[in-house]
Amino acid sequence: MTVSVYIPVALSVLVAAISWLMAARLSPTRGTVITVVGAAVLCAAGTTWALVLLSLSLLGFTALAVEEATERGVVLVQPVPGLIGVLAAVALTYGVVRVVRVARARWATRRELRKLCLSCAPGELAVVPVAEPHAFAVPGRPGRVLVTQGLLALLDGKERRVVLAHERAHLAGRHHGLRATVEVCAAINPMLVPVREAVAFLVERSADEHAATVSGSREVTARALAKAALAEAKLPSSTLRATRILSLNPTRKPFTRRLMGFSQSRGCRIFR
Amino acid sequence: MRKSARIPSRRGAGELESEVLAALWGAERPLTTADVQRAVDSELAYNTVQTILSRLYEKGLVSRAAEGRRHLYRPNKGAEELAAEQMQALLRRGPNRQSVLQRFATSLSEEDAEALRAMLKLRRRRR
Repeated sequence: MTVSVYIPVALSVLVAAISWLMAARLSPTRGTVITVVGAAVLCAAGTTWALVLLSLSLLGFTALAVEEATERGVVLVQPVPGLIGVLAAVALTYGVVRVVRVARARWATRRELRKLCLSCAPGELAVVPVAEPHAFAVPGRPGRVLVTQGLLALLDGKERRVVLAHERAHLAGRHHGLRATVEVCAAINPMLVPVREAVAFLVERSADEHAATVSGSREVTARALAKAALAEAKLPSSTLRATRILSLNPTRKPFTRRLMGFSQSRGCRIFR
Repeated sequence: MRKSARIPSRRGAGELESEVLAALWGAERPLTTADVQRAVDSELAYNTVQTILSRLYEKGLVSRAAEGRRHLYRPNKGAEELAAEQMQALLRRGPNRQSVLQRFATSLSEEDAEALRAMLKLRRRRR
């Protein structure tokens, strides 16, 4: 087997690094998201194929690789070391287990959300009398927007429109499918976890941009996000939300500059 | 301002219904048509709000009570209490299960929260 069998692994590292750069530098258009997702799928497929070949070499099934190599006139100088074959087999098995686990979790949560929506009155909007502020897009035919009463009570009319527009953008853009795809990729190949995070960030930013267009104001959109985020500030930390808000916020006051610097240090400053 | 003034006309009937319903759910007490108009968007015509409210009433999504010559509207809570329990159960799950949910509101670090609070406060003062 030639060295080329290891190329997908190297490629995954590269794609993982580039995806974050893309998330940070490019505007969150559909093209950007599709490109990142596509790269992740290619990498995942490549690594899986490489792992399959390496594992098969353990059992002596190298016929496929040998045939291909002789066809191209490549001399196989280096047989696969047994240890690498074993590692590949273990990695492959673990990957399959993780994919099954991810698929099951997604499936179960989705079913629960649909059931939840069925308990609510029909229509696009489903409101649940829960005090904590939450909003979800529930895919399906038709997709629905699930919002808690706590979030609606927190916001004014324009801000509520931002939330609705944001969730509708998730449904219209089929963001769930894109996220599920990269999640499976990251389950097969943990090196692609940064890509999964980049896609999660990009689809949120893209929905934010859509909401800003619909509401006609980036400021109102930023305010709605800020209010919802503050109401949840008790939970474990993440700078993701702040970065999204700052991406929408055109004003550059001293405190936002501090916040900007903070997110910049993580390499995720996005200003348009 | 012109730009935002044009947008309401582009919104579909379904979207407006959702906005009006969201306003009713967000209010602490039953609302009159004028209240709803204020709560949703002051640029929306009174008659439009009235039409949407009647449509929501016909669909059984809101209930109304007469108060003098006006109607007071509030959202119908049917099996929603059951949905609330299901939701609480879903939210109690570990972060792995929750990551599947596409959340509008993710959480913040204390430093970020402080800066955001300051931002919101400033906005309020400027208005």
